Amino acid sequence: MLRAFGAAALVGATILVAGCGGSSSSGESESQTAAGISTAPPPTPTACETKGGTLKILSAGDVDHIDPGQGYYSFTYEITRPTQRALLSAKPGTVELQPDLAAGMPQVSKDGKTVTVKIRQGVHFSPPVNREVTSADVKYAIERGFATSVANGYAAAYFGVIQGAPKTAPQFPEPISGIETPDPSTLVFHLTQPEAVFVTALSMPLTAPVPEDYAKQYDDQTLSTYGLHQVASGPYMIKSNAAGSINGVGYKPNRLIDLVRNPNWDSSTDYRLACADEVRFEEGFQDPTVVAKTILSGSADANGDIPPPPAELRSILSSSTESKELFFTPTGGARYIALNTTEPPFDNANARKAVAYVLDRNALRLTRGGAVDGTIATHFIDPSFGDKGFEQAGGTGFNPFPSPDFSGDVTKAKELMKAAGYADGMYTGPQVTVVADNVPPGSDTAKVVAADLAKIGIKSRIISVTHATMYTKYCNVPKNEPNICPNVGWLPDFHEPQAILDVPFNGKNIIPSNNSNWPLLNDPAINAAMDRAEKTLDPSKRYEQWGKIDQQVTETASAIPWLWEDYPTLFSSRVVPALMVDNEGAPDVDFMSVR
Amino acid sequence: MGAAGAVAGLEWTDAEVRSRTPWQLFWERFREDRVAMVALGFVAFEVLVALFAPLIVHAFAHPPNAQYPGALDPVFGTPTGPSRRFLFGVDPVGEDVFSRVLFGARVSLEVALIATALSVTFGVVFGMVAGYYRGAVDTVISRLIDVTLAFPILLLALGIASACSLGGGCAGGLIKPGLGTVIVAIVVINWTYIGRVIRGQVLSLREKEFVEAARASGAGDVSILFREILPNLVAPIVVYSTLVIPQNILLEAALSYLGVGINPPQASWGEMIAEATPIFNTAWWYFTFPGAALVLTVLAFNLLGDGVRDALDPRLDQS
Repeated sequence: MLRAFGAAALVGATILVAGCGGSSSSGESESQTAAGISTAPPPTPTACETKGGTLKILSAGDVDHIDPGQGYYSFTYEITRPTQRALLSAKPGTVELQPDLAAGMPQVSKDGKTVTVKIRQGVHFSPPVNREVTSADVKYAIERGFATSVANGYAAAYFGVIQGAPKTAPQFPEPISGIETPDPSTLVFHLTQPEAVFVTALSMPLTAPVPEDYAKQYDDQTLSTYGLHQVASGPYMIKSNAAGSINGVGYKPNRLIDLVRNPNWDSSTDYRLACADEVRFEEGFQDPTVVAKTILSGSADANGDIPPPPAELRSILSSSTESKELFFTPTGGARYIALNTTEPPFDNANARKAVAYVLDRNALRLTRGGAVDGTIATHFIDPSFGDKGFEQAGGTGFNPFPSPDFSGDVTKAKELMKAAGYADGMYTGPQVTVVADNVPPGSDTAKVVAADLAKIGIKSRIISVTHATMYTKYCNVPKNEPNICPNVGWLPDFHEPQAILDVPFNGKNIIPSNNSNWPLLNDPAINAAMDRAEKTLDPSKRYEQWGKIDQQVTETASAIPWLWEDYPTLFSSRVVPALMVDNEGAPDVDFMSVR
Repeated sequence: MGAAGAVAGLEWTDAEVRSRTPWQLFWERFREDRVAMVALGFVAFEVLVALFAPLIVHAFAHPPNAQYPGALDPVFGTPTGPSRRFLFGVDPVGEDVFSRVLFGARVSLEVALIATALSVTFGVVFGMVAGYYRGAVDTVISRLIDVTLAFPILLLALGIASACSLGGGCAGGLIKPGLGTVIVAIVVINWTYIGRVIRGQVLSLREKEFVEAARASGAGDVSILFREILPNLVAPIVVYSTLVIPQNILLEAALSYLGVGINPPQASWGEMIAEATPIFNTAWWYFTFPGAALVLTVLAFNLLGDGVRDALDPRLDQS
């Protein structure tokens, strides 16, 4: 276990792995890891080692949407961050927010219902727009997020609290009365009620400026094509032709995203270094082993969305000659086993708790890699949240379903099965349904779950489908919800505990399709506590409240967390490495430079 | 086979060796084929191993679905190789590969026997009916065979298997996901080959004198089909069955490899190979042992089939 977290409460800690990995077979995981892996934050470059050159990032898939107002995926943010300036963004190497397009941190009124943001002067759009960015561009960017032509995935969740925000999505962007622009450098948000995470949400890419005069023609189509004609405000832009189109120029879907310098960018307005002249995101690499080897050979510089597989990590870490520029970053998210609380047998809390006891979380973690893959989770708020909820939830000490070495406690599980009404502690009902991935590591996780359930007599029928089908056809659809969804997990949008617990566990968020409350948990006490915490502006009180909620949710055993996952990022030795610690440790091309 | 032998004797025995039944004749020919005998020995061995897999595993290994996370690397979760405790190493969830290869043999043989028996049964019945009645019946059955054969085998099997491998299965829950689905997929495709062969044979057999004689003496269609014609089809049926067994084993492995075959956690060689391929660099044993088992089994059945065909077909022997 990566013990540094609990003790030091490092916010956004990144673990540098140095020295040799664990030797083979057997032994206790805690000591092995402690001996094999040392932790240290990666140095954030403060100046470019060299200026110029080309960075090459390899990935398997493409961005979800090229439009920065639509993108809602960590790999997409690797491209959004260097090209688009949101109002706020994370300080390099941390998860703490700092002003980006904003000139200073937003001012919140005493009643929490008015938020004022000053916009930085001297920031210009890339060609063909070229003009200076104003507060109206941010206003339009948020307004377009509500339109069905843009269909942003989080606008309603975080910005629906703005006065006059549409309740039902209009087809095309419409003005929102609660966003005022008294002058070109001032933006005022009027909210219908205090919203604890509103300021934090101003770091989402939706707040990056979009020039209405230029973008309107593209947004007024059934599906906006602004993404293919986007203009940049950051140091880089996606390569475009004279008319501003990136389609087939700097953006070739599933093949290439090519970033070049934005000629209108002024480094004095930005915290970004932007050392390289060009950044190529090359896509379509399906074999993680090949990607790792290509990076090690220096033919590419970092992995984009395709992490090195455990075997490759082992060979890198046990080799004395190969590059050690391998970093592990907490994703901030937890993987968990969701139990359907609306149907037998898991509508019974004792039956759920029996499962929580019987699961071998150590074996579960081993299906995705061992200790190198993260910390065994005992509740939901990730250690990287530190004093923003993790400590308040009891840190690593809070573990309501303990067992030696996390390997499961069958005796205790049987006691709970008895309490659930099964005579000798063994389940006697019909088979339970499990919908799982059809490929490793997800399929292996399901196998471990099935083997553990068998220890308390629960026979499971595993339905194997692709990861996407698992969500879209089964686990996201309450009426098709199986008894167990073993391959689910939730990544927070930002480092606020609300972003971890609210959507996946608040009863009000259960929807007929695209549902993310997988256990279908609808506990009035928990719902009420969450609604209260959402409106608590005082951070220390709020984190206290979410810490309690985390404990309450965990104790229902409606979802059993087993991994606070770390994400490995490998860099070639020809570049100075830099990470987006707030974005699962993705390569931060703004700060990388060619050696 | 007494009745069959008596009639088949007209076809198979010659005047000098009248005292031997066709099966004795077959066995004498077959026994001289060393390769076929070795193959037969291997198949027999495999059947025994599959039958006694639970006992063998109990004595020398671990239950096939028991997981030993302690046998995985604690830092990286990678499986460990062959050792005294795990003869063939372990897989990524810490299951004993040796036990799973043994239990995988059961699946392969089950599929081989059941699917082959069913496809041969359907093929023989439809082939006989088509060849005997000719006309409209023949047209319908032959076109059905043509259409089925026009589909790419693997794609058709994949379609059937994936349609039945979700939820409660297909055909109103009659076909359950897993072994049943795989067998149905194989039978739907494979009956056509033997159906076509049998139809051709029956077309010529029905014109033979002994059939005419039977008809003249007042025998009905059913009696003619089963008492006169069927015994003469024993040779092609046996030959064809032994040759189709390895095909069926491979088809099951392919379907499991593609993720629509045997349901986890049941062990299947195809599924093991699929899981092992991407990690071959680090876990060669996980790929090698089930792969070798599959290759040897299919090879043995192929050689056995060749031997049976040679021994049963005197014309081939003479040429």
